[in-house]
Amino acid sequence: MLEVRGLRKSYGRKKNVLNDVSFTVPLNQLTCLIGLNGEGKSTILKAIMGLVPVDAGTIKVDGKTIHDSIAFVPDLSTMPGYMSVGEAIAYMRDYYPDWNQQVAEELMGFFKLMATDRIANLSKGNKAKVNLLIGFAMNRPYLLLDEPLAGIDLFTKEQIAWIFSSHYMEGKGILMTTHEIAEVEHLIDRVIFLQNGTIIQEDDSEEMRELYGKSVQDRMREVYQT
Amino acid sequence: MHFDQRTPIYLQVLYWFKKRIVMGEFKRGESIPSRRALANELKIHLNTAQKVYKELEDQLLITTDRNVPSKVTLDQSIIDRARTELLENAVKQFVDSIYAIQIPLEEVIINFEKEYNIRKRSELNA
Amino acid sequence: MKKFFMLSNEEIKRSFKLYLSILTMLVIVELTSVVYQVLHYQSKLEDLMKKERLTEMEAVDQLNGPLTFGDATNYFKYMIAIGIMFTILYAFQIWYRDWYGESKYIYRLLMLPGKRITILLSKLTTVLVFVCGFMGIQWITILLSRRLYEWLLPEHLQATSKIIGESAALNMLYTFNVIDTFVILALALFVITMVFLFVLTERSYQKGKALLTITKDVALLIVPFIALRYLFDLTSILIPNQQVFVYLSFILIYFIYISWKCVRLLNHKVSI
Repeated sequence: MLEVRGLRKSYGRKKNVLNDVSFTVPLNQLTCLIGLNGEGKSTILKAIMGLVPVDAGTIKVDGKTIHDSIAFVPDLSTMPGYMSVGEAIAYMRDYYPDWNQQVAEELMGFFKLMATDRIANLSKGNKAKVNLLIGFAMNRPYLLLDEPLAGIDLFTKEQIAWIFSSHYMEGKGILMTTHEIAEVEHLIDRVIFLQNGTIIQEDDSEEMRELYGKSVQDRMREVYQT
Repeated sequence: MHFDQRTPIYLQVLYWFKKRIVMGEFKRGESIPSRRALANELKIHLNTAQKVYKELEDQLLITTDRNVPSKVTLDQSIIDRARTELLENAVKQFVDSIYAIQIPLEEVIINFEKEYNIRKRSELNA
Repeated sequence: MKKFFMLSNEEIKRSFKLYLSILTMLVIVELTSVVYQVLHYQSKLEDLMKKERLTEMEAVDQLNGPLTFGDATNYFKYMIAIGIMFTILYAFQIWYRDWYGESKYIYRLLMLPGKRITILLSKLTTVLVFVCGFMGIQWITILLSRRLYEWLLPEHLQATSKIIGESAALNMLYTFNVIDTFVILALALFVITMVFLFVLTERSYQKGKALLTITKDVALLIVPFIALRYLFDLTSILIPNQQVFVYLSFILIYFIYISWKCVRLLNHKVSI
């Protein structure tokens, strides 16, 4: 279980960008972090990965402070544009001892990416696929996804959504931020609602459906309209 | 498969599965797709598929031996029970939708039979 | 260690083409300038001899003597200054392109397993390698220029001197002395680390606080230096050798301070 405790971040004039944020991401579940634009969702993911400093808070995986159990898939390209897909994969393989080359190649085939494609020349959708491919091939139990479906065409979305119901998800705990709730509603196990840097609600989506007959979108309306 | 987002997904999948067993699409004693394959086909989360299979096992509709794909039960009485359950659910839904309009039972039955027969005929003609 | 070599290799590969082109350009400009200086001198001589009907010796006298090698390589100091400028710019760019490029490579770098100091060291090493390369190429260019000078200019118009010539500026930068080479590298290391500190500070704090911090760090260098200067001028506490030792110790301590700060910022304060 990935445990986030007491994340706090203030930013000069912007006080309380993150205000005592605590939550858990269980293994074998898809947890969705929901919030309106600019509420701090991305910041939380980046804070977990140490890309952004925080004033307070701890990140623990199964009680230990190890960061090599978490992989991050950001919503922008992080590999230099002059590299080709193949070179990017080779790069990752060199730096990460647990890299799963087979998964990388399988996904490259599934996404119909050529090893010789230069990253700078890829479309936005294909860049997202490369990011996702890298995230999964890193072979880490926890995966953080920042807006994996944002601004992507329908067919790419379907491909990506397919991954979420495939065997690649086995043994993984996913934390995802997204605005495209409709596309992934039926896949989400838990929902965390964020507003103004504070967690205002946590729900189990199937429970919500069973006990209250509400969808995640319904719940969103409720939570954010008060 | 299109899901209603307001009812538990696993129940919808469970219903889908039971329907197929009752209809004979998954025959008695036949192997059924693995959890993974089901998750993939219906585009659901793997653990939702697992939940469905557990329910099916609990209701004795499928049997699972280790290292062998799960099979539909050979016990016809269990399948009949599921069949009755589906019927009861459908009837309940129908009654729920029509009761408030307060139409006398005989009229309901006449209309029901008419629609049922039309459907049956169109199927024979197809 | 492996990470360090891989990163350094990556950084050098990235900029190698640009580096090579700039280097080539500088060399060509320098060699061309030597040829130009020689031909220009000779044409001035001819002009004088024709217009004022002087003998060659008289004309040479008019022009304040033969063309020294230092004169011939007069433009070199500008090229070196440009080289230094490029180096400093590169020290900035080697970081900023990872933050502001079309892909945010800095994410990747910061998330790599292992220590972050390796990132700092690899970038530092890359710039220093380029500086070394520049020094080496410059040295070769000077040797080549000497050959050119001796080949183009008749011997009686040359001024004998050490291979470098009398240009004071050049003398300062290039001698046979291995120690001087190390001094230049140490100076480069110091300057580059300062640039890195500025970059990392700017990336860690907001504009106002960043400016303040940088000002503070610069003041920490300048103020004690000036204070020492005054102290030594006013009192004559130590003999010059000991004074130099004190200055150097201070610089060393300051260097350790800014290096430590760089590492600390990179580990704890830097933000994407």
